[in-house]
Amino acid sequence: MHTLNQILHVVATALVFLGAVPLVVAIVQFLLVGVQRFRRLYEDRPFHVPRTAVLIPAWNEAPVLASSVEGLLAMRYPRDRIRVVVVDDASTDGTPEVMRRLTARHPGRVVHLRREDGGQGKAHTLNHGLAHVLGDDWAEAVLVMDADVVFDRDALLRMTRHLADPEVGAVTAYIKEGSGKQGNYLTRYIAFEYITAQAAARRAQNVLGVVACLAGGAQLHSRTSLEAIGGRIDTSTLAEDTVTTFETQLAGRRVVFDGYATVLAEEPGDLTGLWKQRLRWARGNLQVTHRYRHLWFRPWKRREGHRLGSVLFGLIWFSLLATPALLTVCSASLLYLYSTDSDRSWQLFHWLWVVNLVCYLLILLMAAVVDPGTFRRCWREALFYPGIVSTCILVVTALPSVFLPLLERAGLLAQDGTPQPLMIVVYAWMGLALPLAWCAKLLTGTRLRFLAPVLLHLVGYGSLLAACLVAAWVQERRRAELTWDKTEKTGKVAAGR
Amino acid sequence: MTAREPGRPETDEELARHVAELTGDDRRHDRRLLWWELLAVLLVAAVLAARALWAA
Repeated sequence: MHTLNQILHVVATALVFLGAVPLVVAIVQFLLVGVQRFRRLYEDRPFHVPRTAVLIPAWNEAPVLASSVEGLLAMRYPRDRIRVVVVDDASTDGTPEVMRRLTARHPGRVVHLRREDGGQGKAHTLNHGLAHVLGDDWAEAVLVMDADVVFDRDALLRMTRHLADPEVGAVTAYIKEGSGKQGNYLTRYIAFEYITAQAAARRAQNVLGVVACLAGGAQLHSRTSLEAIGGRIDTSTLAEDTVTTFETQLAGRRVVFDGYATVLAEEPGDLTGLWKQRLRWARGNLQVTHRYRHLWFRPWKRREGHRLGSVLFGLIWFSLLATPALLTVCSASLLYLYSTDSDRSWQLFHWLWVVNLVCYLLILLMAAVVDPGTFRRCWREALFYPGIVSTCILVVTALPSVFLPLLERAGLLAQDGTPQPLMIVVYAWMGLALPLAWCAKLLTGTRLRFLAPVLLHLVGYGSLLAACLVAAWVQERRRAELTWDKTEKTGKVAAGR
Repeated sequence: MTAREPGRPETDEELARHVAELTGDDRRHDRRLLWWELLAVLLVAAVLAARALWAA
C-alpha cells in the first residue's frame, strides 16, 4: 500500500507540471522570434511584382465590400498587375449593387462572379473563383482574402517579394484586430491574442521552417504552387486554410509569414460571435490533426521536403489542442496531493505558478516588443489575460512572504491538516476555470448577460478558448453537422480608417 | 532623384527602389527585435534574482 502511495505521489507530481506546458511552449515560440533575423527572410531578391488576381469570397458583404476593393486598388502596386475578383455567393443584401458600381468604376480591374446556387461555404466559393482565375494565364499569383480586411498600403509588395524565391509557395500576412477605438474589451483581448498567436508564433514557425496556417484573410499563393496542389481548396473540413497550408508544404514548397505585411480585420465583438468562430476553427484543427495523423512527430519526414513532422512543431500544435486536458489533469493531481500531503502540494503549486509567472512576464514583455502599437491599445487586457483570479494567484505566489501571513491570519490556509475551501478552489482553479468560462458563454443568451463579461474577466480569455476546444471535441465525437457559420461583419474597420 | 508627379504611375525602377527600402527597414527591425528580446529576458531574470535575494 505504501509503495502504491509513493508511485501515485510521483505520478501526481509529474502531472502537476503538465499545467505549465502551454505557457512554456508559448515562451519557446517567443524566444524564437528574435532568431528570425538569421533565417534571412528579407535578403535582397530580384524585384518581383507578379500579375496578381485578388480573390474575395463574399456573402452579404455590402457594408464592407466597397471600402475593401477601393483599398486594394489604392495599394502601392502596379495598376496593370492587379485584378480583383469578387465571388458573390448568392448574396441577398446589396452586394450585387455594390459590385455593379465597382465594376463600372474600375472596368477590367474588378470582376464580379455571381453564384446563384450558393450557401455551400467559403471553400466552395473560393473554388468557383479559382476556376475562373486559373482559367487563363493572366494571373501569376493569387491573393485570397476576406471581404472585410483592410490591407496596409505596402502589404502586397511586402508579400510578393517572397515569391521571387521559387521555393516559396505561399505567403501570409499579419492579421491585426482592426476595431481600434470602436472596439471593446473582447476585441482588445483578441488584439493581444493575435500578437501572441500570429505575430510571435508565426515568426517562430518561420524559424522552424514550417508554418501551421495561412491566415484566411490574407494568403498569397504563386500560381505554380496552387496548381501543384490541384488548383482547388479543400472542402471536406472546416479548416480549409490549414489544409491548403499543409498541402503546399507537402508539395515541397515553403510557406512564409511576413510579420511586416499587416492587414486589419474585423473580429467578433461579442461572446456569441467569438464562440461560433472559435468553435469552427477548433473543429477544423481537430479534423486537420486526424487527417495528417501520419505526419506528427516524424522528423525523418524532412527527407520528403517538408518539416511538418518536426518534434517542436508537433509540441506547439498539440500543446494548444491538449490545453484543456493538461489543465484539468494538473488541477486533479494538485487536489490529490493536497488530500494526502498538503505540504508537498503547496511546494508544487508554488513552483508551478512561479514557472507560469516567469513565462507570463516574458510573454507580456515580448508582446510589447513584437507589436508595440497594438500592445499600447490592449495592455490592460494583456495584464488580465489569464483572468483576475489567476493574476491574483500569480501575485500571491510571487511574493509568498508578504501574502501568506495575511492569509494565515485570516484563517484561510490549511491548519492542523484541515482542508480549507479556499485552498481547494485555488488548487482546482486551472481546471475549474474551463466550465466557468463556458458558463460565461451560456450567460450571453440569458437575462443575466451583463454578468458574462464579469465572469470572463475573472476566469480569463484563455480559459474561454480552452472551453471552446472541449466543446469542439464533443461536437466532433458526436459527428455534429459541419456548418459554415460566417462571422457577422459591420464594416467598422474600414470606417475607422 | 526627381520627385514623382502626382497621379503618374510608378515606374518599375521606382517601385524596385521602394521595395528595397522596405526590405532594409524590415531587416533592421528584425535585428532590433532580437536585442529587445534579449533585454526582456534579462529584465525577467533580474526580477527573479531580486525576488530570490529578498526572500533570502
